[in-house]
Amino acid sequence: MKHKRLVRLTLTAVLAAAALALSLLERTLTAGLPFPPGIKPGLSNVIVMFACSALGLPFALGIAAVKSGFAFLISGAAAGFISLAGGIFSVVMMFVLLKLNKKNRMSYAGISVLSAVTHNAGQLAAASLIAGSALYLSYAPVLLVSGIIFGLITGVILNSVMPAVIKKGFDFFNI
Amino acid sequence: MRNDRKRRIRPGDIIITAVLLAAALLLMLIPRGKACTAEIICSGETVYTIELSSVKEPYKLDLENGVTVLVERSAISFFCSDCENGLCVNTGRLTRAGDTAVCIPNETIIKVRGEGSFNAITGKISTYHEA
Repeated sequence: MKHKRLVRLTLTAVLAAAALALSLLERTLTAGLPFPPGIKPGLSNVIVMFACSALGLPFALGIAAVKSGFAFLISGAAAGFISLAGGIFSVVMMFVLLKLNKKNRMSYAGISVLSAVTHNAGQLAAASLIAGSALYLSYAPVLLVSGIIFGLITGVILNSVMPAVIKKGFDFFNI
Repeated sequence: MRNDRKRRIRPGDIIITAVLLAAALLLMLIPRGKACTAEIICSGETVYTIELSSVKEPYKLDLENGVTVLVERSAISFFCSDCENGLCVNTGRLTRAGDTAVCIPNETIIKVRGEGSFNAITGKISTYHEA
């Protein structure tokens, strides 16, 4: 068991680095495009969701923390806090959904959609807290629709990738 | 292995997506009033309250923190800002009651209020005098 924990820890570190790389790639690709404030494709959530399913909640939270630390280093404390809020809510949602999915009614697509929406909501709540004033429902449709679209994309990606990863033996926790 | 079964789209996914889409559509249908007043809030303090219908020609307001706000007859927007991500300027023009734009690095918010508009969050009818 000790051996397994070390492997999980190391894998988490590698995955965190990969998640950061994906975030950078995303930034490059969407640089000039007219995205609404704070809405991003969230490709790195593929990794976070995989970590939540295969490694467990603490390690997935660790990856979210690394992402927030990165945002903090690059863009300052406000960005770090917002990223952390979105990340924590989203990972907890993933974990809860995975636990509730015992009868397998939902694939990673649905889990990803819900966690993407939760992520956006968490970020909006954090931004509202910082700004000191509620940023209202006028933003909620954007939040929902972008969460759905990008959630579906990342969810389908993980759906496709997961069997190959399991074959390689990386599915430790198997939620 | 249990995880193999997750790779196809399953009924739960479709239900979730449909429910959330329906919620988004419903939210978009909430009627929102025309823009009447705009507020500019810097670091938590309301710095300007502008009656948009009294604006004759568009003008720019230069705020002390490096943000320039463009005020028009029926809209308000961030015109330019010294923040590095420029999301505030990217938000575009705020034209309906409840529209909001934020510049987080500069701690500035611009909000639009409508006269007698329905405040969807608190469920109250807000009047012009409400701060």
